[in-house]
Amino acid sequence: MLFNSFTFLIFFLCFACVYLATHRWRRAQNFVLIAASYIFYGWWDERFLVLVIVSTVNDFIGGIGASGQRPTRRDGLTAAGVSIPAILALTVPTIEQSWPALVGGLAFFALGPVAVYLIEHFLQGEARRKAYFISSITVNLSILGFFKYANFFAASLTGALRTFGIEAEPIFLNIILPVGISFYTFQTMSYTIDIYRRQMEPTRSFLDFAAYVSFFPQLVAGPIERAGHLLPQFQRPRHLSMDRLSEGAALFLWGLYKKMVIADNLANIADRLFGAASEATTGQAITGIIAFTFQIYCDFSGYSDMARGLARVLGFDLMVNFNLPYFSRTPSEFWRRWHISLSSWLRDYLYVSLGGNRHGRWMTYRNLMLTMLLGGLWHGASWTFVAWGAFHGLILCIYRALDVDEVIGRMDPRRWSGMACHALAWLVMIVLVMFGWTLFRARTFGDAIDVFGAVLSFDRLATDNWSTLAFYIAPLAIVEVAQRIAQRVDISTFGPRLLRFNAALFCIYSLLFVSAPGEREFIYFDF
Amino acid sequence: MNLKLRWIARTAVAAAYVILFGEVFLRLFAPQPILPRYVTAAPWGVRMNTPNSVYRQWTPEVDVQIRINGQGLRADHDFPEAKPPHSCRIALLGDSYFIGFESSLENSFAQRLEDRLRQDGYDAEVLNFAVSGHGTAEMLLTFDGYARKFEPDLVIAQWHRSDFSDNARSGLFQIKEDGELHPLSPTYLPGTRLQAIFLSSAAYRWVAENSQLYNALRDKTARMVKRLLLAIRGRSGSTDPEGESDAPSLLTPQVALSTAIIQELRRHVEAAGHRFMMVEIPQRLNRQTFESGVLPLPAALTRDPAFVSSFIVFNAAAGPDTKLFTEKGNFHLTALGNRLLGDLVAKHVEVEPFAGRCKFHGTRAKR
Repeated sequence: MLFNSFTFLIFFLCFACVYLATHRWRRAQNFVLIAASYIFYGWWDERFLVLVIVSTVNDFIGGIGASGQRPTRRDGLTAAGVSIPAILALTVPTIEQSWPALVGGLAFFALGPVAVYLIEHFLQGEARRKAYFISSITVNLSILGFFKYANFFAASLTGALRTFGIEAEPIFLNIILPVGISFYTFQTMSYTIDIYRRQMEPTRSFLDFAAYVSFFPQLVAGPIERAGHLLPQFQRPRHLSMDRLSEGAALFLWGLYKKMVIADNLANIADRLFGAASEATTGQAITGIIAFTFQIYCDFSGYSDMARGLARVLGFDLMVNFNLPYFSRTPSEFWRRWHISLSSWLRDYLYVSLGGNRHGRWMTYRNLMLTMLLGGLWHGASWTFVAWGAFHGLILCIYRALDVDEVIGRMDPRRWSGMACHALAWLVMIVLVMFGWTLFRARTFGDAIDVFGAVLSFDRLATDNWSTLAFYIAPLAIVEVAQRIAQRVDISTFGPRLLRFNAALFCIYSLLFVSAPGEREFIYFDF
Repeated sequence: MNLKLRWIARTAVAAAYVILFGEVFLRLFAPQPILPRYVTAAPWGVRMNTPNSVYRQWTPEVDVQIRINGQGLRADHDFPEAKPPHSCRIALLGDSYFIGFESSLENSFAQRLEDRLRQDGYDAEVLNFAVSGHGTAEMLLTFDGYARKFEPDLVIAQWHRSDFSDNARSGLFQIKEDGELHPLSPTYLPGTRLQAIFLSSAAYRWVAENSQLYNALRDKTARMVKRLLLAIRGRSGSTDPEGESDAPSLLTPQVALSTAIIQELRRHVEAAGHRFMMVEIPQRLNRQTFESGVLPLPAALTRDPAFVSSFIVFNAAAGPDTKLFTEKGNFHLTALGNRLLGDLVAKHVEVEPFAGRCKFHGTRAKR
C-alpha cells in the first residue's frame, strides 16, 4: 500500500476512526496500531509478515537476555502464543505458495526455545548476555543476508571463480525481496544493541514492542527509529490535538508534493537517460543526472515527511531524516544531513564499533571506508551500490586528510572571501554528490561510463529538459533556501500562517494538476 | 447572529480565494484546456448536440468555435431532410473525433471529406451527426431515431478503442445467454438533465467557457464517474480490474458486445437501403506511435472492405515534427490528421456503387 494511493486514503480514514475511538485505552490503541500496520504491510504480500513477526519475537526475547535479565516462561508464552496463531492464519489459507514462510516461521519457534534453553543452562553472567546478543544479531543478519544478498553473493562468487578459470553453475534461489526488510531489521537490531550496551532497559510488554517494530508510517522506508526515542511513545498515552493534526497534515502534504509532483515528474527525464545511456547527448546526460539527484531526494525525503506527518497526526514524533542535504559543503556534512537515521545508525553501531577515529589516522580511514562500503551494500545487492559507497568513503577520507571541514569552518561567510569559499565548497560537493548518484542509479558500470562519456563529449547542451527541470525544482529551491536562511528544518510550522495556507493551496493544486500520472513506487522500497 | 454572519462571510471569502488561487495557478503553471460540450436529451434516448449552440474551445494549442445548427449537427447551415437531386449524402456517426473537437469547422473531418470529394468531382454533402461521448450503441440509436430520415447514401460510423468501454458503460444493449444482442435500457442520458439546468444560467455558461479550473475539475470528475459506471456496468466484461483502460483483451464479453452492436448497426443501415462504412481512428500513444483499436475485434469484421482503418496511413505520416493529434488538449485530430483521414475515406467513398450518381464534370460552386 503506497502513501500516494487511493487505497491508502481509504485505509487511513477507516483506521483513524478506530484509532480515535480507542484513544482512552493505550493498550487497545497499540493493538489497533499493530493490526493496521500488519494490514498495511500485508497488502504487498502477507507471507512476509512472518518475517516481521520473527524479527519482533527474536529481538523481544534477545533484548531481555542481552540486558542480563532472564526471559521468563511468561515472556516466551506471550510472544509465541500471539505469534504462532498469527503465522498460521497468514500462511495456511494459501499454503501452496506460503509453505516456505510457514516452515521458516515454525522452525524459528522450534529452535528458539532450544537456543534459550541452552543459553540459560550452560552460560552465566556476561557470557549469557553476550550469547543472547549474538544470537539475536545472527538471526537478524541471517534473514537480511538470505533475502537480500543470497543471489548477489552467488552470482559474485560464480563470477570470481570464472576469472580464475573455474566454471561453476550459479545457484539462484527464487527469492522475492521483502519490502522494507533493511529498515525494520536495522531498527530492531538497534534495540538489542542499545540494551547490550546498557544504554536502555528492555521492555517486558510484547504488545508495546510489536507496535514499535511494525509502526506502519515508518515500517517500510524509515526513518530507522531508535528504540530509545520511539518505544517510550508506545508506553505512554498519546496526545492528539488540532495543532498536531494541522502540522502533521502540512508535513504529509509537503511530502506528497515532493514525491508526486517533483520526484515522479523528474523520473521521466532520469529514466530516459539511464534507459539509453549510450545515445545521450551532453545536455540529456547532465539534465538526467540533475533530475535523478532531485528525484531521489524528493522521493525519499518526501516519504520521510509523509511518515513524520502521519505519525504526528497519530500523536507520535519521528526523527528528522533529511536536513537540507544539498546545501552541504563537505561529505561529512552531507552525511549528517542525508538519511540521518541510517547514517547515524552506521556511525553508532558500525563505525564506532570498528574503533571510529580512536586508533590513528589510517585506522580511521579504514573504518570510514568499511562503513561506507557496507552502507552502500545496505542500499542494494549490486556492485554499483558498493561503488557508490566506496566513492563516498573515499571522498570522506580525502576531505578528512586535507582537513577541509576545519578550513571551511574557519572561513567567515559574512565576508566576501568566506562566502566565495563556502560557495565553491558547495559547488564541488554537489558535483561530487551527482557523480555518486550516477553510480547509484546506473544498472551497470557500463551504463555509468556511458553517462559520464556523454557529459564529457560536449555534444549539444541544448535540450527541452532544462525548462522541465527548472519548472519542478524552482519551488523546492525557494522553500529550502528560505529554510536554510531561517535555519528551520520543520516545514510544518515554518513561516506565517497566511504563507503556509497559500503554500498548502499551491501543493494541493499541483498535486491535482501537475503530478505525474499513475502510482509510482518509492525508490527506497527496494532497499 | 453577528458572529454567525461573520463566520459565513469569512468562509465565503476563503472559498472565493481558494477558487481564485486555483484559476491563477492553472493559468500560470498548468494551462488546462477549456473544452465545453453542450448536449441535450434527444427523443431517441441518447444525447444529441444542443441545437443552435455556439461555444468556444480553447487549449494552449487551438482556439476554435463550435457551431451547432438547428438540427443538432455541426454545420453552419441546416439541411433539408430530403436529399437534393444528383447529389450524394453521407451521414457521419461518431464521437468527439468525428464532430471535430479542437478543430475549426473548415478543418474538421466532415468538411475535409466533403472538400476532397468535391475536388475529385463528386457532388457530396456530409452531414455530421457525431456527438461527443457517443459509443457505437448510441450511434445505432442515433441512426434509427434520426439520421436515417435524411436519406443518406452512405453511413460512416467511427470506431475507436474507447468504444469498447463506451458500449459497456452505456448499458443500452447486452448479450444474453442465447448469445444474441438484446436492448437493455431504452435511454442513456448521463448528466443531460443536470446540464440543462445549469445551461439555463448565463453565469454557468460563462464559467464553463472561461474557467480553466472549472473545466479541469469537471474533466476529472467525469473521468471518475466514467470509471465508476464502467465498474458497475462493465466489470464482468473488463479484463482491467481498475476499469481504467479502454483496451480489453481478446474475446472478452466487452469485445463480444461491441462486435454485436457493430453488426447490428450495419444490419440496420443496410436494411434501410444505405451503404455502411466503419472508419477506425487509432489511439495516440505519443507523437510517433499509435495503437490500433481493432485487434480484439473478429477478423471477419475488420477485414471486410467496409472497415477502413487509418492506422497505416497515420503511421506512414508520423514523424517527430508531425502532429496528427493535438497534444495540449484532449488528443483530438489536428487539421493535418483530419485531412489525412478525409483523403483516405474519400478514396473509399469514391469506389462505392452510388458514387457514380453524383459525379459531375467541370466545377460546381461549393454549397
